[in-house]
Amino acid sequence: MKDALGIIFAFDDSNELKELVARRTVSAIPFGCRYRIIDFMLSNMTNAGICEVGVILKSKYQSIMDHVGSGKDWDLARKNGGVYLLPPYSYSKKDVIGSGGPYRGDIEGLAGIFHFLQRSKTEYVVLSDGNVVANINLRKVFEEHVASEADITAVCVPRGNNGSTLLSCDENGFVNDVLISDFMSPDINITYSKEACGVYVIKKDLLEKLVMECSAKNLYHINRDILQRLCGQLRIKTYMHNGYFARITDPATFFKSNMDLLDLDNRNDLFNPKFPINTRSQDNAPARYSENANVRNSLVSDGCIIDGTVINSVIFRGAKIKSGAVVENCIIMQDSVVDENTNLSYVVADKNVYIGSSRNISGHDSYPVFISKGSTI
Amino acid sequence: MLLAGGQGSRLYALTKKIAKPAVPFGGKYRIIDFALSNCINSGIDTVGVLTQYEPHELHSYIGNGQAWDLDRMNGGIFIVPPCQHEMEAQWYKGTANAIYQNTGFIDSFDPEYVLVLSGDHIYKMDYSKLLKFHKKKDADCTVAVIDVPPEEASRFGIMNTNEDNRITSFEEKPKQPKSTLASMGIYIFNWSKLKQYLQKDAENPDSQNDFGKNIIPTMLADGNKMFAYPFSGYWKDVGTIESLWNANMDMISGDGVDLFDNGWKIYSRSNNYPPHFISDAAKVKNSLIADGCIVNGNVNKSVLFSGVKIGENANINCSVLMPGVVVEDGAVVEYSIVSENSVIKKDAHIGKYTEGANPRIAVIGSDITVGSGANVDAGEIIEENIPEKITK
Repeated sequence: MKDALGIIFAFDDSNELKELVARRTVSAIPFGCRYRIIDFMLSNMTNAGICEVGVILKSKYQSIMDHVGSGKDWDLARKNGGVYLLPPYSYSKKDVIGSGGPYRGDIEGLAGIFHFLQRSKTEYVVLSDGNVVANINLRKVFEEHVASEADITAVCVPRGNNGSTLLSCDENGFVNDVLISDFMSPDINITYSKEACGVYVIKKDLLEKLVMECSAKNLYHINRDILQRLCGQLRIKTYMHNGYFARITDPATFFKSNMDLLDLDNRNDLFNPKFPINTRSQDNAPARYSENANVRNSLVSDGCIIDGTVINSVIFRGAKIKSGAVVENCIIMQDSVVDENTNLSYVVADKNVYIGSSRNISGHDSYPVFISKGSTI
Repeated sequence: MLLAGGQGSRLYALTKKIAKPAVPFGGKYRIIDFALSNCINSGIDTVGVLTQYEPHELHSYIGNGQAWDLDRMNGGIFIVPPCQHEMEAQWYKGTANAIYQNTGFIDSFDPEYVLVLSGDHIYKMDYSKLLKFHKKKDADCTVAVIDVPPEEASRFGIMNTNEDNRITSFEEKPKQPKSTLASMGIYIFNWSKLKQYLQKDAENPDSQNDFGKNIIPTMLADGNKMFAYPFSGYWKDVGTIESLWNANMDMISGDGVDLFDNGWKIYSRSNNYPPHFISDAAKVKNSLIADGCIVNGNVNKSVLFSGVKIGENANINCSVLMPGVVVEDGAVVEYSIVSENSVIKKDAHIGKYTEGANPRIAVIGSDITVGSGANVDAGEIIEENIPEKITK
């Protein structure tokens, strides 16, 4: 798919993630024991054969830059193409539209890297939001887009329960209306049956035209200012993604989607060996389980040392669960330590958290307790 | 110069199709990872890996050396199999011959010192300390030695030294050892000196072209300054089934090399697997579990490499399951090594506990299917599929 340029918006201000994004952008949030959220779309793009990917950054992007680096872990350290990390103010004002940062929305992000967009020799662009967790066959999406001769193809999933961007299509399959809201009444007309994933395919010159037009009109959101405003004028098709899909927008979705990984079907879908999700390699030893280890229904990463009880939990790289500790329905991130005889229930511990011995911390399914990166309890 | 050409014949089924340094170890490594990681951690950035026996797995594993930070603009890793020369074309006849045939290769780097290693051992060593010692003693050759228990000494090349660590005499597998300092097969030479001796050795038709048997004794006899560098720490030659199994067990208990020490990481090239999953029905204790495993059964005192699947009510005890192994429901694997991608079908029973300090370890080769209900005895080596056992 050398014809397509990949672009990932590695920022998202409209989230409620609080502690998880206190020191990092949403795309850098650790996920699933050994990944970061950006790994999914980055891998989807390289699995589809896209060899040139721009990652648009906005703020708190050191983690993402460290993580993506030269792109070699996704085969993107290349002479032709490769991964381009694009912080704000990357170019002189003469080469871009607008100020070059800080972006109020994704279109403004594209405006800020306009030079990069124009300079690419590809014919198409695959755009993606930076908070998407899914294994999407982008090659199929692309092929269908080209065959349909649509102006834009929006990857969609069947409408869920949360508010978001809902699309309705006419009898020819073209989008004829768009609803965008955080509060969507469940009895909204069922013709709005598709939820946009935030992944689009569009011809590059059309995208450039739309970016210029939107910027001139002070418009900056793809869903509102392109999809919703122009669905009558543009031929927008949808591609239904039938596999696992999650958007990480708040603590609840973060918690739920990690816990979703405990289900074999979800894992088989997301971690499909034919379309693997690649991530930055770390050289950890295999996980070590001691005599006192008691682990059930949990996902555990390399580098962990498990001496205690772990139930229904997701344990990231290098975490240590000491003897007598009981960790249930928790997400324990990289290098965190749960000391002896501590009880944790519905707790999300960010990286490098130390929880001392004989502590008790409990949240609830509907309200897990989040402990921010580097904390000591 | 890392000698990785040997077959490791005493590993039988495990080295049928791959060289010994490529044999999986410790849940996610291959034996060669230890020597390679030691090199890069010691600051050595130019490494020649001499291959010969069944090298393909090793070659594709090493690749451009990136996994060990050995993909470099200056130096880096070089795979050096035997090749045709202008005057002759010869397989490597012995450890010294292997280095000798690569004199030109080594000369191209114009080194002052050459470190000779083998890719067969499990250990961590800072070679820069070995070099420092070599320079301090103004040695022509330094041999790294390790203290072995007196009852083991007759299995090794034993160095006899004076108080200054200078080697006074050397005995290969002595019946009555005079000391307990065993050669680890790790040598530092002044290249100019070594070159001379390799040349002389090549011209000697009676020589076995081996470091331990020929080069070292000859250099010693000629009065060269040979020193023994005392190494302390874990070191294991994993050349036999029992020692390979033991070393894997050492990794679980923490008696072996510390794999969790970020100060001296052991690098490896790993496939990208999702994290491993321990199900509700599973019980895992005293084990090392790598990425990609799905454990539904009982695992105790075992090492599971990536992508291993354990069925319900299966029992894995004191065993080493290499990448991709599948153990179906109800099967029992104990005191065994099961090689890559083999399948142990339902209710089969592999291996058995045997009394004594060194239990007999059953070995299943790679890509083998052991049929349901089948039995493999303690210490048996299986290289062919075993059909299912039909019980009436």
